[in-house]
Order: sequence, then structure tokens, then C-alpha cells
Amino acid sequence: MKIAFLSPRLAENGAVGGAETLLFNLATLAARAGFDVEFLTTCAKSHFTWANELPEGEFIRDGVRVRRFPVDPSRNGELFMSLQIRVSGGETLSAEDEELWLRNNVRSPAMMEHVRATDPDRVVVGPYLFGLAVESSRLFPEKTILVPCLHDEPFARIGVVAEMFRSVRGFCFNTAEERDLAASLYGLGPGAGSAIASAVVGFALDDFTSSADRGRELAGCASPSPGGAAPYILFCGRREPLKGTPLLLDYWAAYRRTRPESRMRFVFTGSGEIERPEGLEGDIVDLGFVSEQDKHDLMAGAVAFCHASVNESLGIVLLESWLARRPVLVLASGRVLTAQTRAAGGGLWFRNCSEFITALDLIVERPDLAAALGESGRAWTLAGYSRESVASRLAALLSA
Amino acid sequence: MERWDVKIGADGSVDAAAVVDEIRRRAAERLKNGEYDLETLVRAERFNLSALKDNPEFFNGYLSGIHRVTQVDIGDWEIREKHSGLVGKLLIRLKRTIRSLLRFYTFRLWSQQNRANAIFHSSLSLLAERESEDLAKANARIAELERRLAALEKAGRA
Repeated sequence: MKIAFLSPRLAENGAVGGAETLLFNLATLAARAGFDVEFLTTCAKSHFTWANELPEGEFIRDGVRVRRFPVDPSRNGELFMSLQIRVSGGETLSAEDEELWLRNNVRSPAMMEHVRATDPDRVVVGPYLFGLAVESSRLFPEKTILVPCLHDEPFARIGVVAEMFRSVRGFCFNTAEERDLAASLYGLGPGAGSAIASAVVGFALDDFTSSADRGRELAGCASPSPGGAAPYILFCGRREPLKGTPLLLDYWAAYRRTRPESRMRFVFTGSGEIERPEGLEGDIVDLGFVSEQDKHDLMAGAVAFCHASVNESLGIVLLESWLARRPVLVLASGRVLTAQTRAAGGGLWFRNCSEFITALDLIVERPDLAAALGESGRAWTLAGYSRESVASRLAALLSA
Repeated sequence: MERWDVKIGADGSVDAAAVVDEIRRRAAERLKNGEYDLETLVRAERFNLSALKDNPEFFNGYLSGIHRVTQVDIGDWEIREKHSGLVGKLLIRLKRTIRSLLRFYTFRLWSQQNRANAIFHSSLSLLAERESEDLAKANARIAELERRLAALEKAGRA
């Protein structure tokens, strides 16, 4: 059975979005399960310019044949951005403007031509707000399996997006909450409505070993380090309002001001600016991009992993924190992350700052409870997100 | 320090939802007892607008604390100078003089801002209060109508 995976970019050194990492993860699983897989992506590196910086061509990565195609050179990035701004401001676009949004979105006519010529049995494409997904749903609706990575945001309400959700063969969801959101937004009904195939598949993670001592050293929070021993909370990923990092910083600062005796630091990895709260500048540790092993060690050494994003379709970093045996603290209004944490029994959720402070107090005062939450999350992750379990759900979806 | 009434099962399992309930109970109690500084909390909630929308209890707490942070602080503050000795003293005096001169221009501006903030805060509080009263009246009316309906149904059956 021939499967084409379509992705805006290819994950390299962790420098792309979660959806693109997920698509390649699924492609490797499908290839190992015996499907004839091609991973089709663009020549773009930057998710701002989408300029064709990488050469076209074919190569093998992790046992998967990868082909790069140019992004439509006639794309008008400025026009697209102006339409994006209007949509994110809550404006409803006219039908003409929606078509303009689509035409100037990330598309690749050469990639679509390749799909047409090679005639795969299934086209797996995502995330939902990219031109690649919408075009695939229009050109090959009976073959397209959408990996939406859907969030409850204005883009999800664009007419051509709704049309795509109602026309594709099936869906590969990350969580039951994402599936329910799609059902409510597009009137799909239970089990994603008329779609032939729909499943909650998720992301496959290999178990890893991690060292809490090394994590504390990396964070500069071990006892021989210049600042001395200090506990720390951790966030890994893009630092931006959409990910809830400014809110976390404010809450952590409030915790420190409420608990002046505490030396709790806040450690970050990833990219983006951090607005350092006044008077606490020295207690924020920004490590930038780190290796996977360093990230896992940092997770193992943390008091808790904190995440306050309300727009997620799956919290992969939560799964990783649990594999490192540490609990998570998530913002309750982030439905997906809270449902994940509740199901895993791997952490706690807070609605506001006073609950955040109280939850952190508890995690600090009861290390036995923190360890038990971490272990519970780990057992849940190993049961549901191992290579075998995800591959089995994916194979059933592709074969349906 | 209070003891936490949270249990870990013999198999190591934890009822996370029950622990969260205990956190909520404890956080509400601490707020009520004034253990948390309301001003610090209110300042920290500037990005948590979804909670304001979805949680009326939180909104009321936020509203009662917001008046403390809407007032621009126009009082003096201690001027610190990294230079010591005579140079340091002279610099501190210079900065105090500049501050006094600037106050001539800024005092009116900040006073007006504080007055505007106070008006906005009062209006918001009044709106919230009126909405709560209307809601309470509507709920009472619904309860009364339901009571009458039940009585009519009972009479009809008899």
C-alpha cells in the first residue's frame, strides 16, 4: 500500500513545529510497519518567509524516502499575512478573500503534480491551516487522511477549512479532545461523522534514561554551581504568548514574592524572548536550544514541568516529562493539556495564580506525591504512546 | 505549616482530580484569610483573561483586588547611587532636584490618570454588581415559576 505524507517542512534538529515533527514520526512508523512511504515536503526553511532555500531532490532519512518540492514561487507573502491578521482579529473573510488566503498560503503545485503522477493509496497531510492540506482535500478527497493538529482559534472557522473537514476520507487525531473539537466545529457528529476512517493516533515516543543530577548541573542549580543549589521549574519550547509563557512568568514571579524564602528558579529551553520580572532577573535560566538528552535530563531534575498553553492538540513535552518521571503543572483552561494530565494522573492543573502557588507549594512540600504523579504519568505514556501502540493505531487507520 | 490531606494509594496511584479539589479549597481559604497578597495576584493575572470569562468567583476576587493596582504610584521613592562619597551624595541631590522639577509637569497628568482609573473601576464594579443582581432576580423568578408549574401539574394529576 502506497502512502504519501505531505508536510510543510521536514523536522531538522528540533527546529520546526510540533505538527511537522509529528508527521515525520508517523511516516517512520508507517515505513517500519511495511507501508510503501514517501515523505513529501517543501524546500522552505523559514516559517516566516517560506523562501525556497533548500535544494529540490530526493534522499533517505531514517528509512523514509524524502522528496523536496518548491513552494509556489508566485506566492504573495505580504497579501497572505494581511489576510491572516484579519482572520486572527476575528474578521470573517469573503469567499473571494478566502480563495486569496488559500492561493497565497503554503502550497506546492509541483508536489501536488507528483502526488497525482504517483497515485498513492492514501495521502496523509497536515496541519489543517496550510494550503497543502486544503489542496490535497480538494484534489484527492477520497485518499486524504488529515492530521489536523486542530486548535480552537479563528483560522479553524475559515470556510474553506470547514469544507476540507467535511470532504476528506479520514482524520488522524492526536487526542479525543481534538476529535471532539472537530466534531463540534464542523458538525461531524460522533466519530467524525461521514469520514470513512478516523482515529486518535498520537505521537510515538521511545523510552529514555535521564539523570536528575546532570539536569540540575545543566540548569546551574546543583550545589557546586555559582548560584548554589536551588529547585527549579521548567518550560521547553517556543516562548510566546500563544504558548502561555508570559502568564507562567507572572505566576512564578508571584510565587517568589509570596514565598520570599524560596529560591525556586525558572529554567527555559527553546527559542523566543523572555520578559524577565523585575528583581528576579537572575533567577531565570535561559538555555536556548539544547539536545534531546539535555532536555530529558533537565526534565528529570525539575520540580515540575509547567505549561500554560490553551491551544494544543497534544502535549508531547508533557509525555517527555512523564518519561523523565516528573509531574506537570498545566493551566486548567487548556482543555487538551488538562485532559491529558487528568487521564495520566501525571500532574495538577490550576485556574489562576493563587491555585498555581498552592499547587507548587504542594509539589515542593510533598516530594512523595510529586514522584507518584510522575510515575503515574510515565506508566500512562508507556502504555499509550509506545512505538508499538501508536504504529498499530496508525496501521489500522491507513488500512481502513 | 498545614498538613496536606492528600493520599497516595498502596499501588502508588494518585487521584489527581481529588488533589486539585484540595488545592482549590486550600487556595480559596488562603485568599479569604489574606495569606496571599491580592495586589501581587491581580498583577499576575494580566494574561489569564479566559479565567475572568469562565469563572465568576475568580472574576469577583479579581475585581475586588484590581483597585489597588489601578492607582499610579506618584509618591517619592528612595534614590540609590552606585557612586559613594561626595560624588554619590551630589548625584542623589541632582536626581532629587530633577525629580522635583519633573513633578511640576507630571503630577497633573498622573492625577488625571488616577481619577480616570478610579472611574473605570467604579463603573466596572457597578456593572458587575447590577449583572449579579439581575441574575439573582432571574434565578429567583425561574424558581418561583418552576414551583408554580409543579403545583399546577400536581393539581392536574389529582
